[in-house]
Amino acid sequence: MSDQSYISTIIQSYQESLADYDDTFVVGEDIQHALMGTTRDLVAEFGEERVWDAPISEQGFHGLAIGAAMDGKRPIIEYQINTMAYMAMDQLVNNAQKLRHMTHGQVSIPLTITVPQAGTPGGSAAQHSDNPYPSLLNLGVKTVVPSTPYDQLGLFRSAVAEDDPVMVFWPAPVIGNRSEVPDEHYTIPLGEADVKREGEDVTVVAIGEKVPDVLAVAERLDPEISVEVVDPRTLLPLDEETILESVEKTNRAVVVDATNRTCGTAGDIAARISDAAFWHLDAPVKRVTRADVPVSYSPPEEEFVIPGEDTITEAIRDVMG
Amino acid sequence: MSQDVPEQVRSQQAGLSDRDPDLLRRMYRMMREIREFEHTASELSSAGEIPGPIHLYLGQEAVATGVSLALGDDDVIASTHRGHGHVLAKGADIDGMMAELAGKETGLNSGRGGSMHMVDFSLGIFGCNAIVGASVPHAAGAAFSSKLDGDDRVSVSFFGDGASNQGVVHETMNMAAIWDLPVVFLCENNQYGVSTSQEDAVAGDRISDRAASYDMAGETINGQNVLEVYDTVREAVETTRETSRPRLVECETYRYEGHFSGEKDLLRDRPYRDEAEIERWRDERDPIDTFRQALVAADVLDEETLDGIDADVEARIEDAAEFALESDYPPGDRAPEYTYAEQSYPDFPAEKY
Ligand SMILES: Cc1ncc(C[n+]2csc(CCOP(=O)(O)OP(=O)(O)O)c2C)c(N)n1
Repeated sequence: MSDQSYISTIIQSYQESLADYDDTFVVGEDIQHALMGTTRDLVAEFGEERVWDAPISEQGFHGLAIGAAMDGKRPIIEYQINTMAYMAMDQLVNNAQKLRHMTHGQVSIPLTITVPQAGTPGGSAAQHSDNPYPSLLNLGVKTVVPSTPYDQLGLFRSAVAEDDPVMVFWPAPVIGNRSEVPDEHYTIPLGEADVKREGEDVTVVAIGEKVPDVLAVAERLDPEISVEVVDPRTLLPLDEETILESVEKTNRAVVVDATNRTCGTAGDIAARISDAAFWHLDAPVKRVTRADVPVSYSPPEEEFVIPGEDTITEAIRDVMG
Repeated sequence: MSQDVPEQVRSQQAGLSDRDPDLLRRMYRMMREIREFEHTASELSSAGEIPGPIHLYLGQEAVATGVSLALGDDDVIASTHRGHGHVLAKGADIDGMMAELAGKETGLNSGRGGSMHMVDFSLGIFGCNAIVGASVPHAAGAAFSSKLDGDDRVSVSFFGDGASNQGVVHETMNMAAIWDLPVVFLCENNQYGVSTSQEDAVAGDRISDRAASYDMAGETINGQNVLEVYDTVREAVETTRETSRPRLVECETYRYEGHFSGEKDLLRDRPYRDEAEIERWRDERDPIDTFRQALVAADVLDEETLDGIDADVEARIEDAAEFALESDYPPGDRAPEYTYAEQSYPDFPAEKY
């Protein structure tokens, strides 16, 4: 075990991937000089042939990685900023995600797409403050949102091994965090939720950057209310079973996610709980989400849009009745 | 333009007798196969045997033929929504193509892709694509992969005059140039992007002029002359193979039919080009007729031999249509298959309710 920072697990993930898979290369903007800190030392270790600084051409390099994947490579794409994934929506969704199916399994697109600084980096304003996963989930893209260094390393190892495109979101608000990480090799399979805290009275499903906030609220409410915190870790595939087991135990549920409310991830998870565990519920399932507006630059406005600990506490108290 | 008639034939006739007769025969046959395939596809489409829209390649046969014959088996192509000719010329199984159009289990994609998505990776056919411009970076990606592997394959990226205005195409040309990718950008300028004339949509005189911005060679050629396409692309491909520098070749060509099979119903009395223009291209610059005339005039192949090829091709395509019609549809509940590499995820939702 060692105490590791989130970002050091990212660097380790890239290093391992390049070392373990001959067919892997990383492509993205300003990665040779590791602008985002995530690709530090990679060029020195693996050379420029494995770490490509792309021009600012998201559609282009995403499409190029797909073409290389069609030819048997296992590329990793790093987006510089969370919303840049929208630029390449066509290549990601119409192409990477659909090609296996359209070709009746003739081709695999083993692509890992990483998104540093997902969510709200703080003061980044509307065009740089998204968690662009709800639309991708709707379109079937495998999606991982690790909230701790431990989860990041274990999930990344699984993501690069996947023979499908996988988006890995690294939420800005947790990227400076640290946790204990085993020295020996381990993996976390996609689709396995983690109970981050055991409790008896209410299940709070928390995603990515909201996990630490929910854990803090849970500590504060203890022992008045005993909160169980479930972190899905992977949004597609989603570990519905662990969520339902928890709700069947606590009989109450709140889902917390920092994406928009309308057609958001929280809405989907809440619907699944209502559908499958309705007779176990003592109260309606509550959603805590962003407000349906762009994220503001000004700190008080940003705070208004993003759900914070107060809102989470209020929702928990509401379902407790 | 009528003096073009002899000119179009004459230009093909020059030096014909010095060329490999077998190659000339293959050129003629391939163009005829594409044309016959498209006529039959059109009939099947009208008869309701093809579920979706199809984009016919009629009139452009010399381009796919000239390009494919200039490529080696291992070379890669990435194609467009108008890809039948490219796929056929690169050697795809004709039965499988026709069955794919019909949505049958025996199709190239087992009925999953249809007209706009045919692939055969074993033949270097990295896919047709229904998104204009989307396959262009895929061709560059295959070239990128070749570069990493140090092999000597070349990729050809087909795209249209309409696609030439897509950002992703420019992004890709730039990357191919800065990274020395062995890719030939092959623009088929058939004069229209749906109803929009290239004159109204493309800045500058020629699409090939854009190559200069990306520090690559670019040229515009007569895409109705199969020999000119073959010679130019062969040289382009071999130079690219040696130097790993991308190039741009623009082929001036023309599509005889509407943009897609349903166009007439949509446009009705709002035509975007006059019949006389179509007739002019058909009468004076048809790639097959003019080539045939040149072959006969140069005494390379006689009418009888060419008629024999025609009859043979017709029978072959008829067989393919029969194969397609007799093949089975896949079962509907097969739909979730191959969505992911493994289907065992706990929440994989095949159910709708
Ligand atoms: C990105 C995108 N925009 C629009 C369309 C609709 N569309 C399909 S084909 C086409 C015209 C393409 O013209 P061109 O590239 O010249 O090819 P051609 O049809 O002439 O072969 C359009 C607009 C599309 N499929 N994709």
